[in-house]
Amino acid sequence: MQGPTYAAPRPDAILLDFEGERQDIAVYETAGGYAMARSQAGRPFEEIVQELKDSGLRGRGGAGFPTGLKVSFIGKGSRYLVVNADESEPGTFKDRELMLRNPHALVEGCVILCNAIGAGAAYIYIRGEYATEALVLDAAVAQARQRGYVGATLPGAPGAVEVYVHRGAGAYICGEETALLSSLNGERGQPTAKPPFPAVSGAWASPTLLNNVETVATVPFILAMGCKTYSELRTEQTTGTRLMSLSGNVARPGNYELPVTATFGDLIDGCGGGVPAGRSLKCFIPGGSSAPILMPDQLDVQIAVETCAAAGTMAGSGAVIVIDDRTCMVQLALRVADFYRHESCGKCTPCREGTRWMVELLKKVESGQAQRAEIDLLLELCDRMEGKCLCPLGDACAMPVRSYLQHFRAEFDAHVEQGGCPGGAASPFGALYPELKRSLPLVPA
Amino acid sequence: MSTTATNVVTVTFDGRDVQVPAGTPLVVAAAQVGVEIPVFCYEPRLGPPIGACRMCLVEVELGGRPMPKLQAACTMTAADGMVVKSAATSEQAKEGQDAVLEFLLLNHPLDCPVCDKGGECPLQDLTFRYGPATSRMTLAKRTYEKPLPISPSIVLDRERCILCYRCTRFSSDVAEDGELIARERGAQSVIATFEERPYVGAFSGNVTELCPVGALLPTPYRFKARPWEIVNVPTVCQGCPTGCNTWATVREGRAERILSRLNPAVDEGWLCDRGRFARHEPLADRLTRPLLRGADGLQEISFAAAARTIAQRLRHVDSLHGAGSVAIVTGGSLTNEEASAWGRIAADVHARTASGPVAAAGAWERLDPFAARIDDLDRADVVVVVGDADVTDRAGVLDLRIRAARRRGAHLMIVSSGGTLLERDCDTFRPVAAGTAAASLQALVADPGPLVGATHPVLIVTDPIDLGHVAAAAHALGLQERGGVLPLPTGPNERGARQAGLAGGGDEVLAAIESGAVRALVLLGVDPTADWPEADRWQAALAQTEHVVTLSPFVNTSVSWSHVVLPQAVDLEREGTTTNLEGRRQRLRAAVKPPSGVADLAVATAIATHLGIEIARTAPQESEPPPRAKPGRATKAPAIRAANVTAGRFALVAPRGLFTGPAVERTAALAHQRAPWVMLNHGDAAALGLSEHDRVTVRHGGGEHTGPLRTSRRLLEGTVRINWAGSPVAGEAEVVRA
Ligand SMILES: Cc1cc2nc3c(=O)[nH]c(=O)nc-3n(C[C@H](O)[C@H](O)[C@H](O)COP(=O)(O)O)c2cc1C
Ligand code: SF4
Ligand code: SF4
Ligand code: FES
Repeated sequence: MQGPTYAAPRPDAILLDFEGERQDIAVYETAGGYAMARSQAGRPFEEIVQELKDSGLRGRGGAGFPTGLKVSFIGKGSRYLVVNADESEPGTFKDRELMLRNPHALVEGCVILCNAIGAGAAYIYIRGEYATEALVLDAAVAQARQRGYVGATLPGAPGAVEVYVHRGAGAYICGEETALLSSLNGERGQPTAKPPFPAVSGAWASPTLLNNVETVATVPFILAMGCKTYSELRTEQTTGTRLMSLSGNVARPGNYELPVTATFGDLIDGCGGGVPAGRSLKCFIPGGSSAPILMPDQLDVQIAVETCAAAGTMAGSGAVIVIDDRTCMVQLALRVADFYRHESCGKCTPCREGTRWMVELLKKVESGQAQRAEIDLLLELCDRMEGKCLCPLGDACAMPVRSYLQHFRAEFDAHVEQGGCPGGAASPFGALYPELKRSLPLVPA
Repeated sequence: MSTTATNVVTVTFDGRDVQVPAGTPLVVAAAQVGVEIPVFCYEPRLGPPIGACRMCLVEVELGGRPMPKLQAACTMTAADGMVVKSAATSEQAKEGQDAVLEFLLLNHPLDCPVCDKGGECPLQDLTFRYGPATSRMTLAKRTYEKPLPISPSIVLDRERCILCYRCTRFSSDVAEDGELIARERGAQSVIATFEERPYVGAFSGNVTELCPVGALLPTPYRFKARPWEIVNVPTVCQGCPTGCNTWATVREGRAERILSRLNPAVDEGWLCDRGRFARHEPLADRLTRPLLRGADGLQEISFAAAARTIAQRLRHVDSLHGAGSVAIVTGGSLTNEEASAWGRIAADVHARTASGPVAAAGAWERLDPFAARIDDLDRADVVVVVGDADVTDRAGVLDLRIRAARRRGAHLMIVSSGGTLLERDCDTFRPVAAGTAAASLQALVADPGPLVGATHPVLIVTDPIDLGHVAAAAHALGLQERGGVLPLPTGPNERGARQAGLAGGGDEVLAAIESGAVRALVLLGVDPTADWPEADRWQAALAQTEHVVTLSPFVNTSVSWSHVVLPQAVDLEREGTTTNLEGRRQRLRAAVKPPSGVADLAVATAIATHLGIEIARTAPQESEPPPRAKPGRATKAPAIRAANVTAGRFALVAPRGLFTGPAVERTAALAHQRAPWVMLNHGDAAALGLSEHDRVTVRHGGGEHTGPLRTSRRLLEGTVRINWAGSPVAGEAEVVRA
């Protein structure tokens, strides 16, 4: 299938497109960094909220919730800011590069938001595996402290702001906001029922604003350029630029910062150089492994929140995984489902039991031991998990598997008919991850 | 707050309207119009709902718009105009319910025929009513090693567990012991104990009732009975003066199990492990016939002969030696009806009386103007616990209510020599020297701290001190106008015995015996040589008394000094009423027959009849705690004797604990709860070259006590705390490495 060709979009990058070593606070300051931390420190809460609302900024953690609105919800009392740096959705590595290369943008965002909501402390909850990133952030916080942005009261500010880097212990579920807060509060990292929302009871059971790294790091730039300028770059309901993590069967993987008006084709073909030579695009994951796949004829879908939703998927965490014709969709389903099985926290029944059952069934299908009815059972299992769990992790397992079955049912059936994977050893998934098959012992028939 | 009546909203369940206060959980509101929404994890006594099991999924429409997903009816609360459809009327909700049941059964073993829970199991019931007939799971089920004893009294079966987290929430959020936890995650999640140590909390048994499946079962009841062979008899626990309501499970004339019987005003449906596990063992060494001392020692006689003999001797001593020559003493193990019969007898033979170890004659009544009820703790803004003993030592389940008050926001203040269970999470800790609870009350009056401005403070004194001090402090703190005092008697029905005419202190009776004034002593269910202080003096006193009459279930030291012995019934064998620490009269029912076959009340009545007293038969009456007495004038606190400790020795704190006494000693499932320990301040331990878990011996007036060392930062320096199970001791002690 020959589609249109895509060009790399014009660079509107603000977060990653710069010269020089911005881990050094002097470099960051020379480029205008911390100007907003100083100039906005005394600005009333309502004004900052309005500015953020007018900018149209939407959360970059996954749900795309309007940030200004979220800030406006925060309850009264001693408040906290928590930054979600748990980045664990497969395919997502944008916050990582942001923290490594531009840590002061995050620290400045923390200082601005803390002063805006009158919080005395920000906690950056960073996934345990990000050891270097945590050290870089620690160093950035130390520099900001020396320069009086952290630990001291800026002129006009309601008080001093502390920034703590808190390392997680390696659980995907601790990226879910309530689980993150439980973990931060010293409890088992499991989601809790909402209400109460973090805006009412979060860190230390106090009103808490919780945002993704990219969301927070964008704030200083929005204030610097003004909400109007920022929001000029827009689709109907999404504004600004987004960091997109591109990976999979693509020539030039990496992080690309694109305007939300860009299409997936711009990213995959224009920035990423398309699938490797001689291969063809089979499908792609548009927003992290939990997002339903899009097909090659959907390359012109824009990366914005509402355009993805209209295409039946989600913009999610901005992780695009390219899948070419070699990939066995059953193996992909197994790999994805096994991730969610492994990461299910075990609190609620449908996710805890459903993810395990799903993986066991997929193992059976992949090894050619399943019956056709069990493929229907897989779909029913998706029905029985979706929308019934305490948090969205259960959905995150069911949604992609359902979409693979929708688009590639024939491949699943072929496994049943041929008693194994039709692609056989040629399937790159099996070749790429031979240990995967070893690590998942098959249940005897 | 002014006129703000709770906001009432209307919700429709399956077409039926119900009015409830806004914020009511949907499961609760639905039940009010007879709509059943099945639940597993929902249990309001464990704190806010957690929405984990997803059994309660319903379809909800709000403001005319259906919510996009099914909602958990336990976490979703009522709002005006909500339309809720349960599985009975909604396909979608039915699908959700089916899904969750299928998931729960997926790995559940087919154990029901051999599971003790079978027949009284919510999972079995719900599966029977709504569940799938067959399983679509064609893969191997998850298996675990089973059963795992998590303590000598509880076994865990991880295969049966449905991970509702009720047990772990009880441990962390109600008992606050943190001993029971969840480990691993996802489908590998299991219930476990902290660091694989046994679950030894004083309230551990409650998890066996909270568990909705057969995953946590009481070891003593394993394979004992099936639900269709048992009768559950409603009665009241007589382990302590709290008076928790219970069901005694009886099979073939034997009580095999104790369950809680929810009474929100008293126990909130909890029991301590003493109440749950003690005393339904086969009691091999019970006395079954009256005994009379003759030339050949104690010989069996008939009940009629025993009653006649006792009556004759009491009458004889009274007429020969006059008022005060007979002493009738009890410790709180009589029913109100028995106590009242004996009270009439005591009056008739002009007897001295005692219902507890310490002279507090008249002082209990002095507390009546400040009387609080147990559920006053639910409204308390400040709770002050004064004394060296733990609240659990005196009134088990009260401890949980105090913790609940603190979690709700009440200020918890502890005044003690330290090392008590409640002080870990208290808001204020005031260290005072061991044995100075009385003096510390005066200090509290001088510096009331958080009590200033408190609207509903509750004062609890755990040490058996002269209640004159408590009354004086309560008056000075103005507790007649706000809050109140919860007195903690030493015996379960001490309060009833006192009110029935047996008031008085054992120490006064002891002094009277020693002075030669007492010629006949009647011991009603108390063995002062074991249960009360000054054991040696009591032994000597018994030896010198002409006539000793003892009522006891077992042979004990007093029995061996007695001239006439009557077999006593134990708790589950008694019929009548009992009065708890707040003055509530509750009904005791004989779940099983006493081995003697004769009721204690009948014997007391027979003795009374011989004395010419007519005891009318009346039906036992339950009643609420009495209203508060009118405030009196300020009372003066009695003088305080200060104790001095010899250099190089330690002040001894040895409160008689929850897990002591004949019933506990005879219960194998509680042996681990009695394991001796020694507690020292960590600085003292270091100075003695001792560290945690070292075996340490404490020598004191009552003997020797050896156990592993526990160190505490709060226990006062120069103080040693032990869980001594012998007769109460105080004073000072020597501490050495064992
Ligand atoms: C299972 C699960 C995992 C999540 N992981 C992350 C994560 O790693 N990082 C993140 O920023 N948000 C994650 N989220 C989304 C957060 O719950 C939350 O919506 C987000 O951090 C809010 O920030 P934002 O408004 O700036 O997007 C996750 C959500 C779920 C349900
Ligand atoms: S959906 Fe999964 S991860 Fe989320 S609460 Fe339930 S078990 Fe835990
Ligand atoms: S052991 Fe029982 S109470 Fe505890 S989580 Fe499992 S099923 Fe629930
Ligand atoms: S009862 Fe509602 S989720 Fe368990």
